[in-house]
Amino acid sequence: MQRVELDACTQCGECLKCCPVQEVTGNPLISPPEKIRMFREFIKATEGLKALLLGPEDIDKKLLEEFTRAVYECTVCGACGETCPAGIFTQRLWPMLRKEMVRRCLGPIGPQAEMSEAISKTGNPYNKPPEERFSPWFPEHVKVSDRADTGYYAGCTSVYEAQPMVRGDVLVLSASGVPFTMLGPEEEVCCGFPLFITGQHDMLRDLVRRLVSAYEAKGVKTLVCSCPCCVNMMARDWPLLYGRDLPFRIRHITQFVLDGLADKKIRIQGELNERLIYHDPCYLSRGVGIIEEPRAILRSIPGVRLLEFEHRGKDSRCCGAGGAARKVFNDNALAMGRLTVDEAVMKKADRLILNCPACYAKVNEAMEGHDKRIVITDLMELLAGMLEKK
Amino acid sequence: MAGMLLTIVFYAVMAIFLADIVCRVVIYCRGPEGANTDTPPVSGNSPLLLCYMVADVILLRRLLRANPLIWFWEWLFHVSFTLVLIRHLMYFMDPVPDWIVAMQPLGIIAGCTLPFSLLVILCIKLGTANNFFPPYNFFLIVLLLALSATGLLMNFAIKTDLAGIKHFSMGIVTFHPEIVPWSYPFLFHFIIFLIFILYLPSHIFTAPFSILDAQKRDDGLKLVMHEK
Repeated sequence: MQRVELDACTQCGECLKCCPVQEVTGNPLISPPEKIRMFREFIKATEGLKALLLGPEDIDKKLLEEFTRAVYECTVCGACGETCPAGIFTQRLWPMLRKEMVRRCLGPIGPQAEMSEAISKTGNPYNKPPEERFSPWFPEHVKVSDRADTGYYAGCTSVYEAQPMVRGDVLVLSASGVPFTMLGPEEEVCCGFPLFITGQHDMLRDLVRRLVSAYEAKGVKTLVCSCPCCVNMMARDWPLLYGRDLPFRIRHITQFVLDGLADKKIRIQGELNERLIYHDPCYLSRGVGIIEEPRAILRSIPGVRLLEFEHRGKDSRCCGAGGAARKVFNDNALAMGRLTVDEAVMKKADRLILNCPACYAKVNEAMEGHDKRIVITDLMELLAGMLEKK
Repeated sequence: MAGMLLTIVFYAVMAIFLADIVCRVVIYCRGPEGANTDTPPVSGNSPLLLCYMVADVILLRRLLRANPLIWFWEWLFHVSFTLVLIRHLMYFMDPVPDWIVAMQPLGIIAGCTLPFSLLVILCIKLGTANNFFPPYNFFLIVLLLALSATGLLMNFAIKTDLAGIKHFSMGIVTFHPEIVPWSYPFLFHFIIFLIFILYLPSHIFTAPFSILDAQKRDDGLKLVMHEK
């Protein structure tokens, strides 16, 4: 379908209005239609009718480098696809384009190229020691069962770059009274998303089989996760990579919490008289359709006044952390993060609620040295501080 | 002689066009190696989903959401172009079916709205600051304007040998080349048409598929993490 979509682009340019990379760089050469046009030319030159009859053309090396850079500078937020009049699913198209770049030995670039080896050695794309995955910050009083129907997957970005998120998650799980299990630091390896998003698909099947078997061995029937990218990977791609239906269902933590609130397993104590503004992570809203659940949780906190960004839900604007681009194009990511902070401040929010570890890490970093400031809290981090303990 | 030459050029252009289509289909079917063809669950082929899908293609609903101003003129252009194409079928069929004869007045009106809508689209694209307007799209609009200008000339201004045109076009489809009527507007119209075929945008074949897929996907999004 992706190749059909490449031809479906009418080059209308409507997507440029919502592209966050365009907003911060103003460079039309790295715009979505320009990437599609360049890749079409690329395919035509190497596989088209003329190439079949007269042999593939030699493509200018500089042009190829520019094209590769354009493909990898994207945050893969999918906002362009949401606006696209031709309905191109760009959240899937760009990773597939990157896969083609990798297949033709043109990508990935910079630190992205080290991810595969890092995951092989340490189980995470940050090349951090696995023994530091959960310690020393994991709450000691939280009981993790050896086997349980509910499993929790923390995710690499959460544990290494957004620890308050994981603390919040496990405190909420603990407060619910529902027994849950986790894999050990050596067993909980990368879900595969960073490799998928950068086009490096070789290791994916092995990673998925390893994780699925490990959770199956622990008796897991429901796997809960809070990282939108991990959830996206698990819900959409794990079944395909595993080769059959998963032996457990995937739930985002907000779905678990809403069920808990409804069953009275989770009870909120006290109130919070603040104006909260919630940022929809791209891979949660556009990726898997979880839009109302976080809002329902925030509205259930007494005293909260919920504000919205101008672009919300499926039209949410990227915070800059996506697509594995932040490690290579840090300036872009910081600029996008600052736009998120700026709008939250402009809307007179007391607190910016984030629901993604990559957003959490990057927006906090973007605020350093920025003239506008706002309190940033992860959703579960906020909720964990307001729950009746069991 | 000129008729034979034009006919051969027509066949050559169509052969290139068809070969390009076949090539594209092969490329589509081949796809990226080991493609991750995720297919989110859909709510089934309920009549309502099909209605939405058809409405998406016919009414360009996604463009309406993205840009209501340009949507109207783009929709008018596409409808006008379709009606003009249907009207032209009379030159390639003998006897001409009644429904095509009945469509002629509508086709003539469409022949007037077509260049008007294109001109408005061109003005919007050129007049909007920082608008993305690639040279290829500009070239296509200019080609279409030239095509419709020559068509309007033949219809309203310069008397053209319609019987001769029909004879010539029937000769093309029956592989019996005929004499081409020596009318400059018609010759330009025909040549511009051949250039247009060579530069035909591929999205006219593929965009409907991606639009249909998008509606199925939107419908299925709620099922990715939520049970039915």
